[in-house]
Amino acid sequence: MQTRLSQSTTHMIRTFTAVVLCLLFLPVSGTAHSETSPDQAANLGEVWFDRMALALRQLNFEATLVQSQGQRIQPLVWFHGRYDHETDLELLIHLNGADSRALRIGDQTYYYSPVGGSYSLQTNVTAGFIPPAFYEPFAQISQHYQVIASGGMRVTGRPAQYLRLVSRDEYRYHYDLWIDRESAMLLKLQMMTPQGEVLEQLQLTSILFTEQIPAQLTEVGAIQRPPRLYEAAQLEAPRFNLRPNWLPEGFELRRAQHRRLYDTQLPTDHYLFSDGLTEVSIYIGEQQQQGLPELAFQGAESLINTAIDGYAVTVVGKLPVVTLHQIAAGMVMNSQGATQ
Amino acid sequence: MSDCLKQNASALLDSHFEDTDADAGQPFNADLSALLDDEQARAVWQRYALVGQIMRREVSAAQSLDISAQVAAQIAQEPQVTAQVVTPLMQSGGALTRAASRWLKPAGSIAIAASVAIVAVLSVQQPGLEVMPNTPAVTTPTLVTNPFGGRNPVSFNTVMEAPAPTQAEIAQQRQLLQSYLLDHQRQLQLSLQAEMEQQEHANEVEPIDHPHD
Repeated sequence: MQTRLSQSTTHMIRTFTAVVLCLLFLPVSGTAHSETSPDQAANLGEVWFDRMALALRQLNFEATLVQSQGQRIQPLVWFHGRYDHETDLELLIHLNGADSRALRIGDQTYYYSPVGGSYSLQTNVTAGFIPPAFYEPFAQISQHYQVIASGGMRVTGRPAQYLRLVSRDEYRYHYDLWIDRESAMLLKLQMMTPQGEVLEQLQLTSILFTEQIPAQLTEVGAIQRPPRLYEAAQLEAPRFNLRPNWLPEGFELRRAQHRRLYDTQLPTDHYLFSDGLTEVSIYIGEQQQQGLPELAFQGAESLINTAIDGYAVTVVGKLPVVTLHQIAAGMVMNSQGATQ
Repeated sequence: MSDCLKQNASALLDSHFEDTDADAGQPFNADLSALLDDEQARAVWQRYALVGQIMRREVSAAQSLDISAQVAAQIAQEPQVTAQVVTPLMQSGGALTRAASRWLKPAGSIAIAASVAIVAVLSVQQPGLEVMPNTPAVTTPTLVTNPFGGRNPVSFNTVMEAPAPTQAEIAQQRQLLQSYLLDHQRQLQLSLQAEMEQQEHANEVEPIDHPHD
């Protein structure tokens, strides 16, 4: 092809350039909509994402799904209904093992567990299920992530729109989403490393949409509610002479405190950062007291432990292990820092 | 669904939202029995046993907020399982995985399974180790939660960057790693709650009475 090009006329070169450009765009814009440009695919992606965010709040449905992490598969039933303009109801039930349930009525979330104690929180999403950012417009995370509409396929027996939610840098995990074309309901989700290794999946196996709020959810008015969890009485400021100073762009400080870790009673400084979709915790303690070796795991929840200037630094979050190492490496002594 | 049922359903929900501090935690008996009279409704309810036993009975208004103390006691009572040999390379083996799961069980009472499994892969390397239960008294009322949604690691690259720990250190390391993963989950939930509270302060809205405030 290139040999021929070199011999051809200017006109022919133009034609070939056009063809080559078309070929270049093909993989980007996906298979089903080969005519859309990358910009259009991104716009379309945001439109679909926002439709999904709305659907997760507004649809009445009864669904079954499986959640898988590594080799573990957890089946669940999921009921959702919209009670009024401000209030939606949600009930999630684990079908295997301990009968854990989460019930959400508007912004009151109740967790029931036969083994760990039951409790309530004031949150308008169920923790540990779908990332809270998926309930909000994409604009909230668009600075550090982009979402690209990229063709479609059949998922849960329904025609689905495929979305790729990718970070704008290589520091974060990526998501694939499959959205029901008719209702904009989320049908499948997977979270993966920037290299494409799938770490976590959620797949609906059946879904039934209803006009009214699922009758099953009406039962929830009668049940008792577990006690509300509150913060520890007073938060102490971090104490140690070491603090995080570098995180990937967009991570903002949500919490910073000193306390004893519940399980081990180790005095620890804790920092929680979020970029709107992903959270990361940084724990700092006396290395002598903590005594963990240097170690690192990469997974749906990654963890590293390392030692810096006599402090043990542990970083935990849904991020590649490389990013966690960089966060630890970027820590500074307070005396070195610009402020504190 | 019949219109009757829908109306009852609606009534139940209304009751919920009109709930006040005075009768928090009490079932709404009138509406409830009306609904129970409906054969069809009963059938629907039982289909998934939607309200689990735990939702029905365990939670009483009198329950202490200091769940942490209860859980600590519970953990102290549970038998500690002898550590099994599990290395990252052997993860896929059925027997060893089961062995790891057995180890997970005691910790599971406070833990997200995943976190625990990660720890199992790392630290359960020495055979025949007696784990020393070491649950110190709770001095700070830290929150203990059992986050919804299992989390599981399994196929991870486990990188030991230092020599394997001695036997005496293993139990403590396991507990430590787990505590970080769990604490992270708890903090996420509390941070979500804090965000909600901030939003409410900012908007000055008063949507619904919260029975447990």
